[in-house]
Amino acid sequence: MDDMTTLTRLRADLPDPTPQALAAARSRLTERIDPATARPGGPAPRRRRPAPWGRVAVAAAAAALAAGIGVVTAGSGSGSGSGHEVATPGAATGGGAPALSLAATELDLAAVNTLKSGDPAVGPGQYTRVVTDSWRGEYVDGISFLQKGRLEVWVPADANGTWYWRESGRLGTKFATGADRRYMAAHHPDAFRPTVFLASGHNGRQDKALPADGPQPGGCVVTATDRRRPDQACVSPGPDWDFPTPAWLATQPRDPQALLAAIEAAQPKPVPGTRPKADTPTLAFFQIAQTLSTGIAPADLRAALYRAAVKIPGIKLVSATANIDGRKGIAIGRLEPFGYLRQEILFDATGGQFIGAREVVVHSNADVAHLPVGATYSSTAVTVSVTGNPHLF
Amino acid sequence: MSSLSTDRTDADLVVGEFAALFDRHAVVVHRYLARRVGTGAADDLLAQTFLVAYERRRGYDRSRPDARPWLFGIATNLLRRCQRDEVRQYQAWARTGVDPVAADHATRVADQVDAAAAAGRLAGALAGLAPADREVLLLVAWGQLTYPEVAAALDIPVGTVRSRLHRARAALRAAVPHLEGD
Repeated sequence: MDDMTTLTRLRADLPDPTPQALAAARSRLTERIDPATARPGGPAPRRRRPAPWGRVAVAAAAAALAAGIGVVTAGSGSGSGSGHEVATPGAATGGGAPALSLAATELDLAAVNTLKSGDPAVGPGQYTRVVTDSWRGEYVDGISFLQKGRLEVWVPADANGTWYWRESGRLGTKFATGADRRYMAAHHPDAFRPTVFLASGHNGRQDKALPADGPQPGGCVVTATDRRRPDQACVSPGPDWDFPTPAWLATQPRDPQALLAAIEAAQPKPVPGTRPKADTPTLAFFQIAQTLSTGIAPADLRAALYRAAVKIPGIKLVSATANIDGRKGIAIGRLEPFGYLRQEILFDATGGQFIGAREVVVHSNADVAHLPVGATYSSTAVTVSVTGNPHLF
Repeated sequence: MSSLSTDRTDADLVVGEFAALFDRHAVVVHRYLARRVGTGAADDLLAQTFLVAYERRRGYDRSRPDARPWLFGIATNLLRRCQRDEVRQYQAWARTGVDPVAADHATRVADQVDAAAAAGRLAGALAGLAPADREVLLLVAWGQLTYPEVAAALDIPVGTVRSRLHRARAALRAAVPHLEGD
């Protein structure tokens, strides 16, 4: 008898599931299927008068938005308008996994898969290249439109090595109407001219930039998540959640509860007496999306970030086949205060890789009144790879 | 099993009749889950497997008429959350000679003392395997998937399936030397 034959016989005579167990599992499935099949695809897009572009989140939340605000017609359609949570009913687990909501299950799987996938090896002299493709909203003369941008950051394997940045702006535009486009072409042709900004620096700080009107030596740290204009004066902060470095991220907690507490502690406190558009859970979810978007969080921290997200109230599985820029994945979402937008993070179903983040309109009102339900309000796609020195300078 | 759906491929059922997919495969998926973590845990994981599969149905590769590798892949993924319990059970089996998962049932894996001892040693070897190697080994031995099916289930190359299986079997043979490999 060989090893496989012996192994094949082990536990071969365990009983099949009882009819009751099968029926219970089947009814959990059919309960899930029925409301889904009964759900219409959402209301037909309504033409609305374009409204002035509204920044939905408070400034702090806006800074935390991964890469700008934009409007992209939902590409996938599937599931983008169906935020819902199905709690898996408790069942006799017999010491197995606890019953979790599907959102929690997917995030936990993403964490497990992330740890399994690990990080690509970045050898001496090599770089982690993080590409962030985003659509950001612009507002000129009463016209709201979208511009596509790409930020590339090369992070050296050597902590003392040179960082590089290339920010390409105005790579594409989307207008609500042909009239808007014609108006912009006639009055603001610059809106269609691509821009390129290059910089190099150390430890996440830029110290050399082209063109010359970019950040000056010792000026802004620009990361994938920085949304300040290059010419805006700013103090050069140390590494923090908004401007992390690999060394700083290495010092953050890996315990999900402690990590969430650290993230929440770093968020601005709501002003008493106001109805904040971004409360602490909202900001924490943004921060998790933002930190994942930097592309430089190591696998154990990414796994902890997924598990920290599980602990944020209100998370829901939005879709298992959402996509950003054609990359499909699991979308976990959370309704923002006031209920107009849903924040979402997307990750790969198999390897747990972070794909990107976006905001989707769930209630066409107020700041997003000009957008149909289901439209994407902001979108960021993140790609991480290992490269050599880009030699931008 | 629904006789109405016998002439339809799994790809058809994934799209149009998901509950029928459950009827077609629930027992084999449960059988695999039960062998990994016991019947009680399998009852819950079976439901979770199909719930997750349902959520991911739009990502199903419709060129694949058989959904088993896909379902086993999801089940295997879910089992990773139970890894510690699973390994503990193998360890207890190796230590006591009694399979904690099968102990509740009237029938035993092995009645003969020799076979029981071999089973215990195999369980000890299972406990010691790298999780990725164990997944491949048990998808073949207990899930009865072919190499290409394992590759599809885990989304890894067939060559990786072969090398992991080879490593796992070498560990088994080292643990139970009188079992000759084929």
